[in-house]
Amino acid sequence: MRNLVVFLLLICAGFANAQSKYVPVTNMKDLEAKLNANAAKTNTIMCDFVQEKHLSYLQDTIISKGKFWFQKENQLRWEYMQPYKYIIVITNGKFIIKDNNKKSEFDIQSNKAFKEVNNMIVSSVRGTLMKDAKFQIAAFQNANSYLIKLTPKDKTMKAVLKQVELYFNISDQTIYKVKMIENQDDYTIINFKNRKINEKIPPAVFIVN
Amino acid sequence: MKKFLLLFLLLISALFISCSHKTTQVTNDVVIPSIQPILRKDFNTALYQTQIDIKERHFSGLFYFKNMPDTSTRIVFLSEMGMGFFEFEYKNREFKVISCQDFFDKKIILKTLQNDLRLLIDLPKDSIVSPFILAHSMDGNLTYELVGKSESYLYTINKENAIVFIQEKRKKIQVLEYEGNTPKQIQIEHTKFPLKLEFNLVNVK
Repeated sequence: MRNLVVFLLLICAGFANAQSKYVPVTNMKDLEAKLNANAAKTNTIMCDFVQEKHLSYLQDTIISKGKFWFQKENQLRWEYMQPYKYIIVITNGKFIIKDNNKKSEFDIQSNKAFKEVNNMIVSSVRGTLMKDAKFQIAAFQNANSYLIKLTPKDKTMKAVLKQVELYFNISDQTIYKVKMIENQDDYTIINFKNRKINEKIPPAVFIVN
Repeated sequence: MKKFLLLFLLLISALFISCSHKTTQVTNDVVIPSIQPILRKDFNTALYQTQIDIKERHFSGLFYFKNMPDTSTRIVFLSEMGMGFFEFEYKNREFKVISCQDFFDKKIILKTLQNDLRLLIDLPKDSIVSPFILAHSMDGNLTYELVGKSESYLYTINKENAIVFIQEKRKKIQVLEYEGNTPKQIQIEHTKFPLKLEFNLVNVK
């Protein structure tokens, strides 16, 4: 009887493990079509996020929390609220940063680095990063989610990032997690929660005072 | 009588002269406090939100200090979004670069930043405290000189024996506020190199 219980527990554990294990996506075009369709019908996104910066050697994690707003085509507010205050707003061709009380404003088009960052953030949020030729792309899935791994081809980005992982819900193709892995194996995970899609965002959200 | 009066007058004069000067030679009655670094070793990790203005560039991010079991200190500067700018190890009074992004990976910038960080986590290398109190302010702060091999530093400490100000030929460091033993706000300003740093405490464990 005891052996039967152990056997059943092992079967359950194996089954659970199989559920979470990722396998390569066989039909990339189908996946891309689903993500594009979702992106096409998404006009606004509002959500909370929890960011975990994992310092591998130091065995420590820095946790921060905040809110995120996105409005088509490329208006975005990324606001850290705990344990520090920091705001990034992209709007009207400007990249605005407010750290503590200091506000800095940059023209996206005149600054290559900001242009790249802008493209990457917006593409990540909209789930259209798969179209970006600057990355080598591999896609996987399990019972609940798609995992898209992006490996930078660009030398400058490679110096900073080893890989970016995007996690999408299979049910509605919304992105729920991003993992950015650096070259020393430190990594940052951003989990998105309390997502609201296509709700009206007040214009004041994209103003920084 | 005359002799005693003269001696008395000389003693009074000496007392008057010594009171009007700011320097006081330490006697056996005065104890030179043991000066501790701005960031003492009594924490595991400390996280500071930091702004660095260097040349025409402005960086903001988080400075993470960790005291390791082997007595070394690890220092990481990363952006608020988690990307690392640089990581140093401070061990046996020397810095080692663990990782560094391009902009900071220049000898003069690394050396300047490391010298600044040394003054936060340690005392100047091979320095000794000069046995003179150079200044004694109304609020009880004392200023001492620390003499190193090639530099001298003026250290001002408060009544709680914590450093509030360091003056060196090329820079000054101010600790504007303490939370217990932990500095809450630190400013470093260079006079000959375009560099300013401001640290604001986020948390300490």
